[in-house]
Amino acid sequence: MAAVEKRRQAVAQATSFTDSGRPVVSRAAATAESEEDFLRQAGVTEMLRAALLKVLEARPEEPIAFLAHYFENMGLRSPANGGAGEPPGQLLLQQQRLGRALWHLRLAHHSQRTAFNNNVGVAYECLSASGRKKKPGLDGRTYSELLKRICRDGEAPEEVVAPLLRKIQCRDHEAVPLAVFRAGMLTCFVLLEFVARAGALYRLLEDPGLAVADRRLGQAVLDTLEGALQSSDDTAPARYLEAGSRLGPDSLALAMDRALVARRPSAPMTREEFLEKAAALFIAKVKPVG
Amino acid sequence: MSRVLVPCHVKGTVALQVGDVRTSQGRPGVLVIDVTFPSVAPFELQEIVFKNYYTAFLTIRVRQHTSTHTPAKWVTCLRDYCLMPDPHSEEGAQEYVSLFKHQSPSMTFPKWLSHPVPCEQPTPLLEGLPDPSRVSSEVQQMWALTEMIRASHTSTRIGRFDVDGCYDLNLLSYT
Repeated sequence: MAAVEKRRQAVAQATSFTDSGRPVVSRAAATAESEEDFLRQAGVTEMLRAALLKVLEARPEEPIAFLAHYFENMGLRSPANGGAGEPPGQLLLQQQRLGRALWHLRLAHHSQRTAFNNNVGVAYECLSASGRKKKPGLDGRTYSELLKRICRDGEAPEEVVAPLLRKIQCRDHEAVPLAVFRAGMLTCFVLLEFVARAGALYRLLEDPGLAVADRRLGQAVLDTLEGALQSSDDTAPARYLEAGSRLGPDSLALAMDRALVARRPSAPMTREEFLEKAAALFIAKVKPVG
Repeated sequence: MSRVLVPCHVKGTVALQVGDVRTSQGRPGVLVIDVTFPSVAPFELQEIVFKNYYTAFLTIRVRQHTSTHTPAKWVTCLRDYCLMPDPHSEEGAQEYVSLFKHQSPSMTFPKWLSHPVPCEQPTPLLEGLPDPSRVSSEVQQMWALTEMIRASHTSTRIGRFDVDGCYDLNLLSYT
C-alpha cells in the first residue's frame, strides 16, 4: 500500500510542475497519459485482465459475486497481510494455502474439463509453494487434508467418503505428483456429485409420510445399478446400450414392482445406509493409488 | 348401406415445433389438425378419407365422453400410421387415404355407446411406486458419473517401495 501511495504523490507532483504557463489542452493530455501509466504501473490493468479471463473461463452464474470473491482472495495474497506485526504462523499459512487451493478448485465444474484441469494445476502450485520451513512439493498429509475438507464442504457424510479416501489417499510423507493430484481431485468432486444424485434418488424413493424408504425398493434400485455397472468386456457402445435399457423407466419400474411383490416388508432403509451402499458402487470402480 | 358424410369442422393446422425452425419450403415437424363435430347426434364412424400432402406419419387421437359423469378422456386410435414409406421420396406423398374403423385397434370414436378399451395402457403398477422416469433419470446420471471415473485413470505411479503397507527393511528386496 505504501508503495502505491508514493507513486500517486509522484504523479501529482509531476502534474503540478507542468501546471504553470502550459496551455490547457496539453495539461489534459498529460493527465490522461499519466492516468493510463499509473494504472499500468500499479498493476491494475494486468490484474483486471487476469480477473476477466478467469470470469470467462469459469462462466459463473453470478459474475459480480464471483469477482468480489476473486478480489477478496487477492487481498489475502498481498504481502501487506500480516506485514507490520508478526508473520503468520505455519498453521495459519497452511490453512490459507488450503483455502486458496479450494477456491481455485471450485471455480469450474468438473465437467468443464479444460478449465477444471487448469484450476487443478494452479491449486497444485499453490499448495506446493515452499514456505520457510516447508520444502517445495505437495506432501501426502496436505493432500489428505484437502480431500477431507472438500468432502466436508460438499456435505458428504464421513462414512460415505471414508472408503474413497482410504483408496486414494497418500502417506503423509509421500510426495504427490500432479497427475495423481489431478485424478484425486476429479474423483473427489465427481463422488460429491454422485452422492448428491443418490440423495435426490433417495428422496424419490422415500415414503412421504415416514421419511424413510422401503428397503425392498432401495435395494432393487441399487441392485439394478450394480448390474448395469458390471463390466462385460464388450465394446463400449454395446455396454452403453445394455445399461441404457436396464436403467430405463420401464425396466426400473418392473424391478421395483417385482421387489415389492416378491419380498415381505422389513425394516426401512435409512438415508445414510442408502448413500453408503450407493457410494460403495462408485468407489469400487475407482483405481487405488499405488 | 350408403355412406353419409358427417358434418365436421376442420380447424387450421397448428405447428408444434421446438425453437425457430422455418424454411422457405414449409415447416417440418409435427402439425396438429383439430376436427370437431359440433352438435351431432351419436354416430358410428366407419371411415376417414383425406388426401395426403407430404405427411409421413399420422396419429389420430379422439376425445370422447363415455358418460355424463366421467370427464372426457383423450384416447389414441392410431399411432404413427405410416403414409409415406420413405419420407424423402414421393411415394405416398399426395395419395388419397382411407382409414377404416377396423384398422384402429381400439375402435373408439366420438359418442359411441360402447365402453372403450384404450389401445395403450401401461401394465398396471402397484399403487405408490415412485415415478419411474425420475428414478431412471437419477440412476442414469449416477451410472454415467461412475463410468466416467472408471474410464479416467492415471498411469502415474506414486513410487512406493513398501510391501503390503510395511516399510520394514527386512522385507525389501535387494534387487
